[in-house]
Amino acid sequence: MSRDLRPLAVARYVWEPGTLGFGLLVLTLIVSAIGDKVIERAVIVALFNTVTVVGLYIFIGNSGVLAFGHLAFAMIGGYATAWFTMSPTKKGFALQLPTFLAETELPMLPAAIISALLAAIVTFIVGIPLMRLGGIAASIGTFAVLMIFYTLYSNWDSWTFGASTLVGIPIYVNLWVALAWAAIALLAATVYQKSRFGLALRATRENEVAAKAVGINVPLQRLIAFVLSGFFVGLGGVLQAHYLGSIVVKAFWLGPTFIALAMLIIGGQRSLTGAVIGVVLVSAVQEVLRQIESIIGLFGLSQLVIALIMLVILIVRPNGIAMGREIPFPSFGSLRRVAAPRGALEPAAAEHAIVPAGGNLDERLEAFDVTVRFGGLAAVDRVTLSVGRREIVGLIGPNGAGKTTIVNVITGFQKPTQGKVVIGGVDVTNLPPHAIGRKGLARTFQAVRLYPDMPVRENLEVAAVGVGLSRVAAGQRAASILDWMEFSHKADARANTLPYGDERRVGIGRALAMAPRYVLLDEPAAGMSDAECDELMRLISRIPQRFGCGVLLIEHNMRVIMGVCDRIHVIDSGRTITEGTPQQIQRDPEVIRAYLGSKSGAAGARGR
Amino acid sequence: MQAVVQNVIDALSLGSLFALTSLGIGLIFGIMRLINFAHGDLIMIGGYALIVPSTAVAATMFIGEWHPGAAVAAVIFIVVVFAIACERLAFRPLRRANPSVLLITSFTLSFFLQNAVIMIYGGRPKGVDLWPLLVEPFMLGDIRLPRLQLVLIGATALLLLLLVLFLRRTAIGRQMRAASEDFLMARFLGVRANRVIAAAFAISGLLAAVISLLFVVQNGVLKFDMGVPLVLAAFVGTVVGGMGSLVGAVIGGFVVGIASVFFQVVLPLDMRLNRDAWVYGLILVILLLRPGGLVKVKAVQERI
Amino acid sequence: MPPVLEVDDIYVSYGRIPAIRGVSLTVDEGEIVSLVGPNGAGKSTTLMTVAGALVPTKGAVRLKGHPITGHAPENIARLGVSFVPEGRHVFTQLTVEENIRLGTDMRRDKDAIEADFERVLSYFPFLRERLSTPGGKLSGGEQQQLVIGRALMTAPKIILVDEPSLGLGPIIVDRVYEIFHRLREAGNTLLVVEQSTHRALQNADRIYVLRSGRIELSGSSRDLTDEQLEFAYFGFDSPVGQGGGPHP
Repeated sequence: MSRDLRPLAVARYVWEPGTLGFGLLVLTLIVSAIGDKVIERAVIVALFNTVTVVGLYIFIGNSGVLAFGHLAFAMIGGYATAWFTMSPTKKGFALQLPTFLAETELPMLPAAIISALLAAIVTFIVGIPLMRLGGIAASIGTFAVLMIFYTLYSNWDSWTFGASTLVGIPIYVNLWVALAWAAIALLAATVYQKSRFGLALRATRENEVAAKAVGINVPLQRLIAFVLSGFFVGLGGVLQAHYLGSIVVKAFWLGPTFIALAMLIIGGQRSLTGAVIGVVLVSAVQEVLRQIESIIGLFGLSQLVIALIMLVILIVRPNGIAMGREIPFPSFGSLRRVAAPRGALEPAAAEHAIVPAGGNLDERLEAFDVTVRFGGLAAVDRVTLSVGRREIVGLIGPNGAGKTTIVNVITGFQKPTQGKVVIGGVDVTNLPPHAIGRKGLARTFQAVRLYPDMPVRENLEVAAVGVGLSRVAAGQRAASILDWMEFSHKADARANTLPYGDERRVGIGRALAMAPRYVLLDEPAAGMSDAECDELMRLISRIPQRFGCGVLLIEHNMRVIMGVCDRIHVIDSGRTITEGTPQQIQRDPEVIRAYLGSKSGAAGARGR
Repeated sequence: MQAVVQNVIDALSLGSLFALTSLGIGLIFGIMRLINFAHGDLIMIGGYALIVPSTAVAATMFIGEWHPGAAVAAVIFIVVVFAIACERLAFRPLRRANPSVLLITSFTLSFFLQNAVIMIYGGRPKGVDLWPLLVEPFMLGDIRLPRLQLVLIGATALLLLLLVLFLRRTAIGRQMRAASEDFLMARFLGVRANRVIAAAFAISGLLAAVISLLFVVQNGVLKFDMGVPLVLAAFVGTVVGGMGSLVGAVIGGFVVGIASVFFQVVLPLDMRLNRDAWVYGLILVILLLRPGGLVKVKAVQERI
Repeated sequence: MPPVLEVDDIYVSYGRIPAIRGVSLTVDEGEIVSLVGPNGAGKSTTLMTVAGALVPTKGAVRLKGHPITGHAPENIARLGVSFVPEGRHVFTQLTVEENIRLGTDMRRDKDAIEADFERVLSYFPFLRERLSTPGGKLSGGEQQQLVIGRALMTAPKIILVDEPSLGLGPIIVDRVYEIFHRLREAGNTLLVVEQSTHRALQNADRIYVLRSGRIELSGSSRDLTDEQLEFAYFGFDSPVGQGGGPHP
């Protein structure tokens, strides 16, 4: 690709914050032209709320974990900036701060940054335990965080003036200051979102299990976003304090928490565009209704209507007004290719592209003597199997034979009661799934588990990023694997728009993007027609030679198993019953018996 | 002696209050994986049902003036109707949604109900003097006993007993237990999903109504967000006890109540105001050490 | 007279994953019909669809001629379809008696309920002493028998059983099938999913073989041979069963 496309690539990169920021700029210009104090006040509030809500978006939007405690971080930022910037005399009236703080009076910008950093540090500390929890437990944990800091700050009289309003904070936030910070927040959110960290976190949101399997450390990725999000929410608190000139703990409790969440969710929590739309819309509705409220004296109306809008959105449009989409980048005919991410723009000096995985091609993936007991019952009983890097090994057995358990043991989702799993001489038995992914074992899933709302290209990139590649290198590798699979024409299609057979192939491509030494394919032919199976067999049989990657194939479709495997391992009732070439297995009466049941009883009882 | 007795009664009565609230939340969570933040607002609605709707500063008694029996029945009726209406209008359309969406929905509903009350009754706290005789302490030998707290403990014991009988002895109770364990299997046996869920909301409404009466007598004041501290404590209770277990919810509620009183007694004077921070800190510790809570609910192994 | 159950050309997907494509089958009054096939063939999906847990994208399910496609599971149960899913699904916190009686809550015929209760206890005598034991305390084999007993209590027109032999020892499996025969003699109708073709041949009146979401073979168990079944099951000629049946 030629060099003169670079400016366009930059334009593409800053497209979302650019357009959204431009929208806010136009709004600001109009308001300052009108000069109405009431409207101006509403817009300033909306602008610093943008900082807070974009902060929320960084975590909630990218991780998909609902958090209720973020206003605690805004509170921490707001009070901190009061400590740093109030004049010593004013501080003396209300607070009994330690001497070094009581006499400090920092300039506004350093104070703002230090205060937001303080919020980020607290976010980090509470995030360490919290981010290890998943789903609903994490959400409840964030409630607890809000309660803890709310209680502490309400009673910390010497530092916070208790539950009373602390006044005398210097006022400097006007339209332009608020706009500048909103633009910075938008840009930061974009940089994060397009980085490998943002990509990895969105993958955990789309499918946590599949994200772990490509080597993503879920708690770590969540923590990174949580801290960044804490910084900007803290900054939102700082700006609020310096706009109002006062601060009170009540402004960070459940009501304001609800409004901030409503802004994010009504707009659409899965895109930056949604976050901004939500802030603008909710602010406008609130402002108009407040006017009506004060005219007809019906207090509570504005909040009631916001709650009602939120309920309707949750029921009819759970992804909000923006529905997870950003403002589309205009396509200039032939220049549309520019819409590709950074990686594709680099010259094709792609050493990270499609390389056979490193290491010794003669090493093996081995499971020794694996036994798993569930409450006394052995689901797997002393199974030993191994896969070389140049072969395709099939694992078959009837329903309930223990294949699932073996798969879960090898991939680290289940700890064996006994025995061990070794990859290239390294014992990986007690490693978590994401670490096993990094040791060179990739896998696909029975239920495919693509990242549905991400393009095919990103589905592959996530896997490459998960094993430590940069975003650029990951882009190159994804492109070359798609090329090898003859799938480049669909690289920009969202995974949830693919036909089913293609979905399965992308799943295999994603596993290969980790440059694994072994890949475990879990029923790749399930639900496929015979023609699709032929295509699939062609793909699988080319893997070992092209990638230096051994294949462990779990499959019920005997045509596929017999068609591609070098060796087949048969288990029944948790035990190995035989092992051999497809020809040997087809001839083995034990195997037929395991599947079809014992024949001896059949003749006598027939026609009973 | 007086202090010890008082502390024990304090712990048990606060624990009762939290246990009943946790139970109302736990019942619904078990059946439909909904953490109902709006449960606290059902308690609040029960309180406001006692007075004449008006934004005037002073409260005028309405149902609160009736014969206590009639008042109890009326408040229960009103709260149960509200509980069922919430399910029908807000939660039923979202029955297939994930627990996070359900939680934010209930949070929204809570905010909606609170602001509706602000519109109708005004946002300022209102003093109400309900059944003042209950608040009078009485003497047993040398020891002064708080009548209301004993009534609260007694009422809780009675409700728990009735609930156990209901769950064990009636067909619908049996269906609710089955549904909270394996809803789809229960439906394969002809158990009606809508009926079981409506029953769960009705019972949680009944529990909320009883709490609101006792809470109003105790505090003598109505405020639109009076249910929030209760529901937050009950959250802690259900998580501590183990989400999805009714026994766990009751135990968790008592643990939180007793822990609150314990911290109140043992913390030095200047830290006592931060008691709740300690209690909520406890939830984080327990979530970390035992993410499943004190009473474990069986998990199913699945292939991934 | 229409068949008790008629599945008419149904297509079902899990999300976007097609599970069955065009399955048709019938079960007549008083029959035991077996549905066999390898894992992932769509056997369970077929039963789940009949029971209302899944909704077909195409096709219809009829019970005694009345369409039940897309009805809620509880309503299908109330119309007379009793479903024993794979993995048993005993309510572990409910007592054995509560498990058994759960299926009768929709019935109003008190005397018949008590008669059915006695009948279930006569089929599974060990349950009588365990009536107040929590269901979770039973062994796997006992649980399998309990859920079959429980399924009888809904006064079903047809009983669907998904892989009753999974994870059970041969003695228990024999006992379960013995009960199926007694049920048939008493006039009940059963559709049983089974992995073992031989067990199906021994026990069923008719057999359907399902592979990759389609019916590959069907017929009376008197007429079908092992070889035909093997071919339909695996999709290739097994050298063991050389000289097998014609391509379907």
